[in-house]
Amino acid sequence: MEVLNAPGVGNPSPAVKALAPYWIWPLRLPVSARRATHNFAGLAQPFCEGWRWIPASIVVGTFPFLISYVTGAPGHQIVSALLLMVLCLPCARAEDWVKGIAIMALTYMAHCAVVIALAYADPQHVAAILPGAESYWQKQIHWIQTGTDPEYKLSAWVPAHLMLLGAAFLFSYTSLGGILFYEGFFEVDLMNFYNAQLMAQSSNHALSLALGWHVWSWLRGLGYLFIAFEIISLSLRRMTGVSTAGRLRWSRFAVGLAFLLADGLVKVILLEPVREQMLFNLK
Amino acid sequence: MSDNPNDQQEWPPDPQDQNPSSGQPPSQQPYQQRQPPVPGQVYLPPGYQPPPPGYQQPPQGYQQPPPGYQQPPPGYQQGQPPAQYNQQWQNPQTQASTDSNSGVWGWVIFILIFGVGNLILYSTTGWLIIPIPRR
Repeated sequence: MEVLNAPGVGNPSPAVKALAPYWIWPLRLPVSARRATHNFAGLAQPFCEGWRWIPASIVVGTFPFLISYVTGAPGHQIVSALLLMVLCLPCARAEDWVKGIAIMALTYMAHCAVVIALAYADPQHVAAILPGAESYWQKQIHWIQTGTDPEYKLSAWVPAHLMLLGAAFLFSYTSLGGILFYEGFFEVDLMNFYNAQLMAQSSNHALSLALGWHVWSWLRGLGYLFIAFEIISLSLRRMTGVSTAGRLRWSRFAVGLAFLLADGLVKVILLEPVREQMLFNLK
Repeated sequence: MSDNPNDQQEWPPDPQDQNPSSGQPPSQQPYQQRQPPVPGQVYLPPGYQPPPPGYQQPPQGYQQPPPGYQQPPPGYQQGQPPAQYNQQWQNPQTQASTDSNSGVWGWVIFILIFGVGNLILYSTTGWLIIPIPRR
């Protein structure tokens, strides 16, 4: 809906008028900034039309990492996060939640595939461009071999994840998803490096990958896809003042929360069986 | 933050309201045969409203005011400089310049709030309140 680009916006008119909503109380953007936000959200529109979102998502998920890999320069996670934000915003503007979630999912999947492959083939080089990945792998292998990890106790795990959820709400809203996507790339890269090393030290690579990318982590990722899109969409509507009807909005938000709840339940049930299988699979 | 707390947004007319007489396009409306006019009878277009009491026809040579023209405030006298009231109409060059300035300021405000604001927010609180829990 090109409301703010329509000629005559801002001029007195007998058309129906509505006060600009607060973005973050008491912050209410002036018309010029709302128009700029609306235009910013449409920057990547040509890359979202038709099936172009598929190659665009793959490029966003892989290209910055490949450049970092070749050059050794840091910062691929923030570049991918910003590009993904720009790619998602036209979908949020058009309330096209299916394409929006598909873009996020494909971007992260393409990113994970490339990072795991390169981390498996060239771990030392990749570890240098994935901050914290090596220490995360050491913690994980210690947990697999001993079964003890204070961070996996419910008393530590539940507060940490509730805090993460709160931070996801806040930063998705303020940054239109940019900061949440950055954190997402950061965390999946920890997992990617851990999985690549686990594969290298396991007998059955496919089983190692299936177990190492834990099923509860998939559920959490899916949950955050739904939640991120809804919060980005909400924030964009409040920033631009453009609102469209969407009765399914709360349903999709609830689906996201349900995935996060399932993440916790499945983890409690399957944590030890999965660890044992990974242990048996080690060389 | 708003420079004008009464900022208002104009919404486009609902497409369904384009044809107020019917919810169907003309091609789907049943054909109604018109009766021939009776001598002296005047057909009024749909939606016609009679003028209010006291309405007078404009004089010969009257022209419609330009788009955006607003009536001067009460007390305005002929010959008074137009800057003393909020004149909405501007010539096209001035209008384009104003739009351009408004657009630039819109981007500046957006970058300040969105870019710089998030940078400050994340650098001051993000590292503290975003945990990196074990997967």
